Amino acid sequence: MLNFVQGHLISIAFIVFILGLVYQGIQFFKLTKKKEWCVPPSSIEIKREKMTTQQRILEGLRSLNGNLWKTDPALTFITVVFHICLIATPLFLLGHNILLDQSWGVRLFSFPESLSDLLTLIVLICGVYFLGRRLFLARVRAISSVYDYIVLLIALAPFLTGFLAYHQWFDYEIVILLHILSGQLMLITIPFTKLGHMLFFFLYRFLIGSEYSFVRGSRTW
Amino acid sequence: MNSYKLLTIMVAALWVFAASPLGAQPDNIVFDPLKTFGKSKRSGVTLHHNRHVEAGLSCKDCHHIYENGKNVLDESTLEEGNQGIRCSTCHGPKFRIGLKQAFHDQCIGCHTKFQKERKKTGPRYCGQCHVKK
Repeated sequence: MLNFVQGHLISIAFIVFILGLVYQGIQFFKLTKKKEWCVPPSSIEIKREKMTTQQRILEGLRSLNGNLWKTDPALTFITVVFHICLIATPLFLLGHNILLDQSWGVRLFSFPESLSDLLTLIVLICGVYFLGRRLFLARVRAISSVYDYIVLLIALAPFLTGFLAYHQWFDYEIVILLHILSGQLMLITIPFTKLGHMLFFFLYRFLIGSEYSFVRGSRTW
Repeated sequence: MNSYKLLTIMVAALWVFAASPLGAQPDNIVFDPLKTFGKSKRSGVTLHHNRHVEAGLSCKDCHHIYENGKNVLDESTLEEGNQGIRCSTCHGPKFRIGLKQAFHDQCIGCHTKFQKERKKTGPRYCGQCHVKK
């Protein structure tokens, strides 16, 4: 059992993660293959006249007014920080890179361990903020289900157990096992839950988005 | 009289054992990165030498001097205090495999190999060796 978790299950988790994402990507294009007649929104005509760099930056900043940055700047800021730390921490963690080097002979650049520790703490604090919103903000609680809490827990569990493992609090053998298991659980669930926004964010934001901005009226996906 | 004889033999055997190379080995060796590298990210590692001997490993399974892919180490040189057999004699900043990597390769590499062969094995994760005090 232990051998399985520390051996084959790691490969299985990565295979499910990668093939799952590929499958979801293929599904995305397959389900949207059928052409739908649509009128491109031509009413909002952006004047593409020559602008100075300063004007471009100002226009870019102005366009933020219509979105979440205006309605909830704190959430926007926290969610950006959360996602950066979430992705950067495990990739540039010294321990992960040493294990990677042992297995495959390749490694990425590593942060100092104290920095990784701090970034992990930031992820956890942001996670607590998200949990707090779901629990205490009426409008967020109204649309939260058990599923949302479970997904949040899946995303935070590797960081919580990793934090405990680094500081060697509680029984290290159990904590490191939970850390491996929670990481595998996260990898496996990413393609099949709303954690799939890891892939879909790029499809929605740039492929569908481009239809309304870069090349209006033509479908790029 | 018989019990005296037995005792004499036992004491003599103990002396012989103590004088043998096997008896002269240190039980635990502590690698202190503070002493070696001057600075330390992690705590020192205690190598349980006797556990490796008890597990049936031969000296040359770990101690090595490689020439043309062959371990040409003379086992009789493996004596405590012999500076020439220290890992850091060959594994240092000027060499292909640095000291830290050599330790990691040697320990984790072998422990992983044994795990894959479903044999009883040693620790493979950071905190199992680098124990925080």
